[in-house]
Amino acid sequence: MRTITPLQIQNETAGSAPETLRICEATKTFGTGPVALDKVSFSLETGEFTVLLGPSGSGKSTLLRAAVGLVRLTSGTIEVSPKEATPSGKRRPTAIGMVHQDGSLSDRLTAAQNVLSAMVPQMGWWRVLFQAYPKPLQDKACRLLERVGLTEEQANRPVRELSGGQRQRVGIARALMNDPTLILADEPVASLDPATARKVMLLLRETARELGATVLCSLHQTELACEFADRIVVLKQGQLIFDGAGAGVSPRSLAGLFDHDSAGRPLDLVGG
Amino acid sequence: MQSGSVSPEIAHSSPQNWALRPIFNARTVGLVILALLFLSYSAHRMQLDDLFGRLAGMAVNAASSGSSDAAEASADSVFERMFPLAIAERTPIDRIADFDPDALPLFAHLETVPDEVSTLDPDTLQMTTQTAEKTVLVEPVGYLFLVIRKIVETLEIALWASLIAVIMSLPLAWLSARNYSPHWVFYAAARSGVSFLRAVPELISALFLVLAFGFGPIAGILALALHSAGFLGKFYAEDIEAADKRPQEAMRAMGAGSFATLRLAVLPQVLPSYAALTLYVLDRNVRMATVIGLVGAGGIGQELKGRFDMFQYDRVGTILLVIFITVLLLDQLAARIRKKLL
Repeated sequence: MRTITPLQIQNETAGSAPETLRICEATKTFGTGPVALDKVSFSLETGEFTVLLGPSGSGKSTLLRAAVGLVRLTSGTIEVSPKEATPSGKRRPTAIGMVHQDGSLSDRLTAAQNVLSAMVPQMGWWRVLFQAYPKPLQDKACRLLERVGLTEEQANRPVRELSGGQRQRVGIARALMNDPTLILADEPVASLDPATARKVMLLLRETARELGATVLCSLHQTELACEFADRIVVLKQGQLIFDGAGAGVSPRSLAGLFDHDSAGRPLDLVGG
Repeated sequence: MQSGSVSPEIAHSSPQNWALRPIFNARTVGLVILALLFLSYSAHRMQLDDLFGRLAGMAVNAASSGSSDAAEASADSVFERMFPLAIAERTPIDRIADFDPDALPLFAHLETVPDEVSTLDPDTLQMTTQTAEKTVLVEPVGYLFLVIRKIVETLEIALWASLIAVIMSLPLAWLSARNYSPHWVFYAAARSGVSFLRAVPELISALFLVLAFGFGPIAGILALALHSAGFLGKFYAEDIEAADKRPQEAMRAMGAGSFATLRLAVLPQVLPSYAALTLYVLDRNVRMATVIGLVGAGGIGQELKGRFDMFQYDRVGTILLVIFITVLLLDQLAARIRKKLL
């Protein structure tokens, strides 16, 4: 297991830190359903590791998906410096890496092919067709795969033959492929057991630090949030109900924020 | 939605009083009765009741080994006349143009057989039978070779038809997949085109294509290709639509266009299913290629139809046997390939 590096970046950028992501009154309603996002506003300072915490259906995914243009906001803006992303502009800066939940990799492509697929927007169609990636990119993909802890043999295996933890590592490598300044992670450890989840979170934070990238990571596990976050933002039913530093918040007090009992288990088994 | 604690009011009726949904109800029973009524009416129209009577009659006849009626007699004799199967080809040498007795085909030999020629005596107006000698060229497996050549031609028809169908259906599938069609006009056009191709049976389109392109394999290839393209276009498109959305969203989140998403997030997913579908189409085209020969579109069917119309049932028997063995072998082969792919 790797050691946790001290929170040096937060200390360096404290004070008048530049902002990487600015969310302004983000609102989203799906049809006539309940409000998924209700005037959520906050900004991320460069280099920060922010955890977006909340129970299922609290709007975490919607917010992250809106930031990369997968969802159009009903109103409000999400600005990724220096360009505006949604709702009007379809263009988004390429320097966003996104880590998804399990199942977002192409199962039958190898780990290396999946990592390299991040470079597709910058390539011509015939290179896409034959998956003929330039040698420097291939080298970079291999370095990243080695960095996230895969072997050469695993890099050439179809992703479906890898374990859940290995798949998420490949997902992280794919997110890092285009040297992102902002990494969005949508429940990256939702399908993993607690021990593997910790390792993957650790890897995400370390690799982001090495790049100096800002991270917005959604989670529903309060313990992981307290352990890894420089800052915690809590969403509940589409509303921002808490925003504060990760240090000094206990998992129990956070759990209380979204209807967890003292054991940290949700009570909402019947009512939904 | 607000939950403080689990409320006891939720379980207001105790579980042993719960009414679970019945497996069938009055409506289901009514529908079944309606279906049975329709089937009995339709069976009468289709003379199925007559069929049962006939089968019973045949059973009685067979038991008493009495004489059966004419239709059954002819069916029986067709079957009997298939055996022994025609393997050899015997051709009188005077029917062969430029026959050279010193350069016989492989394994062939000449035989002299008595030949009975009946002629009408113009004086007596009586039929007289004269016996003469006639030389025939005997190729011991000549006819079997001919049938095998025809079967190979049939397989080639099926292969080309399937190949053309795959090439045609890939763009059709892209256009008629709802989530990747560039515009609804293309979508509607492709969908209706695919439905139309599938709606025309091979035998019907072969009839017209034989008119257009003449007897021979081209008509057969086109007829099978058009129908298969309709079939593959529909199912390829449905596979694209049903593919797992999560990898596709990940590609779009990275800013990839629809071509890259199709290539990297959809194609790897649907490829095994595409291979299985294509294999099925190939398998089906082999069987259909034997049938469309009946309308003159090349292959073994053309030979079968000709021999059947000339009452040469021993040759028909050979053809049927070869078709049967070929389909059986291909089935085995297809099953093996499928196992490897999936």
